[in-house]
Amino acid sequence: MKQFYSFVRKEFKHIFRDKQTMLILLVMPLVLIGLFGYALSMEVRSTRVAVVDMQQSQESRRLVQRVDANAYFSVTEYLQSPAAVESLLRKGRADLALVIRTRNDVRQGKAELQILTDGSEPNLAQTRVQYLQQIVGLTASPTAAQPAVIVKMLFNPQSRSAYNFVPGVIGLILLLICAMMTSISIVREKERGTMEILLASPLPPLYVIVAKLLPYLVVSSVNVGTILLLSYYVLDVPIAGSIWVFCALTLLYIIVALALGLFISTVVRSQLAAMLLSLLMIVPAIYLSGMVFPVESMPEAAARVSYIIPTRWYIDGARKLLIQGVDPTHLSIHFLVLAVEAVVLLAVSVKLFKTRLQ
Amino acid sequence: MIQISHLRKTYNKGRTVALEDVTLHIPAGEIFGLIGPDGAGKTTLFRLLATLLLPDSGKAQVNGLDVVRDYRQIRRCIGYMPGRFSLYQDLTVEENLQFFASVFGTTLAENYHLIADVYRMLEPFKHRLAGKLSGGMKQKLALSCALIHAPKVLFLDEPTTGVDPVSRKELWELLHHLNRTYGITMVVSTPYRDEVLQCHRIALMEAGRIVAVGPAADVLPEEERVQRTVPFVPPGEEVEGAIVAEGLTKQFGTFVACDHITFRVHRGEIFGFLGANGAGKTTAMKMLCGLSQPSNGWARVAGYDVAKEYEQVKQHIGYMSQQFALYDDLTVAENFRLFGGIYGMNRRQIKEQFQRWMQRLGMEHEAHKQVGALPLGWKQKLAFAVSIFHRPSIVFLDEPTGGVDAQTRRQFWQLIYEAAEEGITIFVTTHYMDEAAYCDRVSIMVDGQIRALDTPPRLMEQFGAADMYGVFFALARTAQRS
Repeated sequence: MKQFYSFVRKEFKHIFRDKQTMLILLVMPLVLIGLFGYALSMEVRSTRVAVVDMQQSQESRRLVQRVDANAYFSVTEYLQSPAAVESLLRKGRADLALVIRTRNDVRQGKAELQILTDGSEPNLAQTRVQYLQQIVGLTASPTAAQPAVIVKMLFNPQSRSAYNFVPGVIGLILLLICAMMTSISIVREKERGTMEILLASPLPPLYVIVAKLLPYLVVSSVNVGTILLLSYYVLDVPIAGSIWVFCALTLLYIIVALALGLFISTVVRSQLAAMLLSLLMIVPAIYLSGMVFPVESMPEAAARVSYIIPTRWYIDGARKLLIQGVDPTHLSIHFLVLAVEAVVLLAVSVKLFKTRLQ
Repeated sequence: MIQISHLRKTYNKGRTVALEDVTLHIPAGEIFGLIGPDGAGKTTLFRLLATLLLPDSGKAQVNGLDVVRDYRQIRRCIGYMPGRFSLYQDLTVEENLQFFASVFGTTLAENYHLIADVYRMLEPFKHRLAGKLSGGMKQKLALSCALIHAPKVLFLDEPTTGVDPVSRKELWELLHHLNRTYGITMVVSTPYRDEVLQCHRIALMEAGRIVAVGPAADVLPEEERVQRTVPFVPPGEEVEGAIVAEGLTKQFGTFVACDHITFRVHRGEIFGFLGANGAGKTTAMKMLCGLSQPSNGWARVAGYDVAKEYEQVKQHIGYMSQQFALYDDLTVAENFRLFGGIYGMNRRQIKEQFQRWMQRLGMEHEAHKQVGALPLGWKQKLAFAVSIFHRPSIVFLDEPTGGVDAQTRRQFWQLIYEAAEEGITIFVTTHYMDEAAYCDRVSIMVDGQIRALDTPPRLMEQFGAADMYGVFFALARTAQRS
């Protein structure tokens, strides 16, 4: 046990003495939270609205005022006819147009309200439309022939993107730290020749493995804590569900990521190769995890691949727990998939971890 | 202590034979040398004995234990020092020792008597990071780490490569002491002839086979010497020297790395620039190559001032070092084309020169192979060819033969002589004292200053030494800083 203890201590020293590692560990969570929280917001801000008010009624004017008064929208153009809308959108002088038709048109079966928007940025367009629908839905004219659709965003009424990305950032950072940095730290010993001495010593290989993984487990747990505190107090992200179930889910996910790092370290020989292979695994994980693009909107094949990606299960589970606050029983499939992946990856890499050189 | 019979080991699914029918018996208490050129199979044999590799066939026993079946017990009773500095560079001296002690389930205090002699030398630096130690210190620390669990056998794979002569001598004194006092059996490989002669018995290896076993004096072939076919005659004082340095100084803060050195290298001369690790050789060389500005004094290289006209200096010199040689992932031809292009040679010149070199090196068949696939000795010869490919007037060689076997080193010096006879001035650093004797003149640096400068025979006379090694040691012993 003393062997093991001193090995773990050595690993912590490696981490604390390497400035680059420390920088990644300490600064990366802050940078990512900062980036997603403020700079890369998916939220609708300062949308320029062109209005075509053909009705010119009291209600319609009130509706336009209401839109203009909203912090996210500002009415910049008033047009006479819907024909001018398209060229305005094309020139980029407005992001969205709201057309209010006359009562006469409405009686002929046309919709009272029409929203036109620039669809070249689909995500943005969708969010804008959704939000605008919410505003106008509440003031829809009672005289309208068609009932207005009432949209209500549950759990996240303001479409705050922070709710979406916080679980994603945690999933990403854990993958980077656990998979990439662990694999690099193991391969570094191979590259520098110290692994040769460790193998030729009576140290049990399992000690080497566990001692290599443990410090990164600690470090990544600290990071998860930091991110949660930051998002709770700075970004006002709620923690709706049980924090303990969340911790359990996170721990399981960390173990999967560590096992992945261990696996990578058994198949490569240089630190550079370890880094490239980790990135090769992390990039699809980002795109297929549902962090950026929803799994539901993926093509069938990609969606199927996403089922084996642990990050997908983690992010989905974390969202459900943090934002929706679902009962843990709904997450049994998430726990199951992650647990199976952890066991399989660990078994394979422990088997591949050589007690001799090639 | 060690019994090996008909051992065979292959790589690449049997395509490369590393060891073939190796049979050897090493009794307890012996210092046994494994001698042979690069690729002879020495490292493979070490790794098999250290239970890091599995043999294809044959048997090997260490301390009566089978290397395949009883590997766990063997790992408890051996100490292994692989070729490279296998220490944790970011841990201190003390932390490294403590870590390796605990890996073997022991403590620093328990076996302190074993490492006491080495540790006394390391003690002043015990809080220094291992990565910041000199080559000699690193190897002493690595030896301490290998000794900490009181092993019965020590496997030392080229323990003195990259170590200066003084540290080499100290390291071997330690080995003898450990062997005499504690009866530790040692298997050592080394490219240095003087170290081979200190082994009780040696095995000569070649292409995976053992060709001879016996006392070093009987088995080791007579040393061949290379000689200049035309003796060097220095030109008169009126000809400007290829390198002239006057009070050249480099200071880092309060530390004077290079302290007012003054010397002159004649055109066409082979000038040996010697000194222990940390004596200031590299600093001086960087200034002469125009890579570093002198703090004081001046130097002219190929007629240009190193402080002001460093661009011209770089155009007129060639440079080769152990660390940077060629691009491993380019072929031989591509490397030559690249470096020829860098120095502004045109395609026709490159092609002609390249063919001439391939003929001269006898490597026509390797021209389109990747450099990484070639043995170290060949790489070094190619690197030398590249460094004088653009026909510079001076070439700087920084430990060009480090880690290369004796035979390749002689071939390398043959190339140096040929280049010198074509009129290229050679400025070379080396840790091999037999190579020092090959130089026309030699300077020896101690603590940043040049303490001796003359032809090798006159230096030996002046210091009353039998060889250059004696001269070097007499001077290096006076060093104050480490």
